[in-house]
Parts: sequence; C-alpha cells; structure tokens
Amino acid sequence: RIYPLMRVTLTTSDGASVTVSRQLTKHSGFIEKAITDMAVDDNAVPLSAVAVDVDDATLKLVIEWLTEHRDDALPYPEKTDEERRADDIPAWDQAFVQKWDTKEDQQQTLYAVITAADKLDIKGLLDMTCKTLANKINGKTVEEMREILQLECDFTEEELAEIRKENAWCEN
Amino acid sequence: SHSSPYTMDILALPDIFLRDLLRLLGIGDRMNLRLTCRTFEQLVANTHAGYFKEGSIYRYSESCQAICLGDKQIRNAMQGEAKLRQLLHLRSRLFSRISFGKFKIKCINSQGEVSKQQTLCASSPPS
Repeated sequence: RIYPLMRVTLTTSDGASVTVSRQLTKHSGFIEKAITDMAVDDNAVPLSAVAVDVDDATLKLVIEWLTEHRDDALPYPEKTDEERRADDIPAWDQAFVQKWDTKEDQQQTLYAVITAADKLDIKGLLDMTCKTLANKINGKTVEEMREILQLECDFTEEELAEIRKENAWCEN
Repeated sequence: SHSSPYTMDILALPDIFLRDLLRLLGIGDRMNLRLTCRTFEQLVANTHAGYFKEGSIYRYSESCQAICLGDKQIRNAMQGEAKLRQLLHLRSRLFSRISFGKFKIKCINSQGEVSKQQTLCASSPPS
C-alpha cells in the first residue's frame, strides 16, 4: 500500500537534497525497497534520507519524468516481443527528451538518465530511453552508428572485410 | 547542456538494457552494428533478435532458395554444402533466437508455378 502524502528525501551523489512524494517514488523499485528496509510506520515520514547514486541535474530530470507519469499503472506492464516496438513513445516523453538530448551534449544526458533509470529501477523510464536510443540507431550507417554510440572501431581491416562478406549474404 | 560528470559509454550500460535495445532493431541494423566494434559484434550474436511478423523460405530449384527474415532476404541459401555452412554461420552471428507471426514455405517449379506451399502461424496449427 502506498501513502501518497508521505514525503521522501533523496540525497544525490553530489550532496543535494530533494524531497518528493511517495506517489512519485513508488515507480522506483530501488527507492521503494530502501523505504521498506527502513521499516517506517505507515503514517510516518521516512526522515532518513535515501541516498541515490545519481547527480542532482539528472535526478531533476528523473523527477520531472516521474511527475508526468505519477499515475501510470504499476507494476510496469511487460510486453511480449510481438508487442514491443520503438515507435510508440508518448508525445510528452518525446518532447521531454528533445529538450535536453542535443548534439552539443553528445548524448551525455541521455546516458546519465539511462544509468539513473537503471540504478533507481524505474522500468518505464528505462524502457522509454531504450526506445529513444533504438530510434537514433535505426536505419543508420555503420559510421553514423559509431558516432551516435561513440564507439571506436577495434576491428582489423581483414576482420571488417570478413564481416562485410558475411553480411553480403543478406539483401533488402 | 548537462553538467553531468558522466561520459557516454554505451558498453558500460547494463546488459539487460543493451539486449532490450537490440531486440528493438531490425536485421539490417543488427548487421550494421556488427561492424561497429568487437563488443557489439558479440552482442548481436548473443542476443535474442525479437519478433518478426513474417518469414519465408522460397525454393526455386535444388540450387536456388531464398530465405526471408523480417526485412532481409538471404539468397541462394542452399547452394551446396559450403554455402549452407556459410548460411548457418551467418545465422548464428546475427541472432540467437527469433520468432515469427507467420512463416511461409513455398516451392516454385521451373514454370514459375507454386507446386507446394505451407503457412505456419504463431496462433494456429500448421495449415
């Protein structure tokens, strides 16, 4: 049972404190477990702050996303392979990502949010960021993929030629 | 711009995230990802490829068959044992497992007519 009026104080990795309602934190498996482990009374506010290994700037984005999704159903629905697709990101989420996912940022914010969603165990946010990254890669050339994912090619020319030869078996 | 101390390191992301990411990509993208770096080459080979609405095997003659997997076609797949081995190798490098909504097998004779056909659907027994 969740008590939406309860407040939880989160301390970030860079020492900031943010207080949010349980209505938001219920979407985070990590925070919920931390609160459960505190064994607080039903009506008590867990004053002991939950330390989250996420920086302040990233946590603010996470809280913004949680605020929009506070009424989403829990548990987060698991989708089958057939149901899973990358082009069904809600309009609000798309606009949310576009606000900060800029080329100048070299996608560091996206990476930080993905990492935060994983650490805080927020399945909906992790799923949305996964789809966002999939959409970025979709239909791109090898060079473009390396640029987007910031990967260094560690193949020899011979190895690349061999993989290209294998790939040549397939055609559109 | 974000002032986070994080640097983008896709390979440091949790394994489950990378596997989910690959399941959202088509075969063409998986093929390109293989060429980016060794880690992705391994990852592509070791992850579930996900769901495809349709797949098919078209058999034109003893030496000419085509296998369609989602958005890609593998040509002349059975042209001799060596080619078959090559096909199996490629298949194992691209995906560990895939599923289809509908899988069609068609044999086409030298006149271009369909001599035999079978369609398998995920939700119904073989027709």
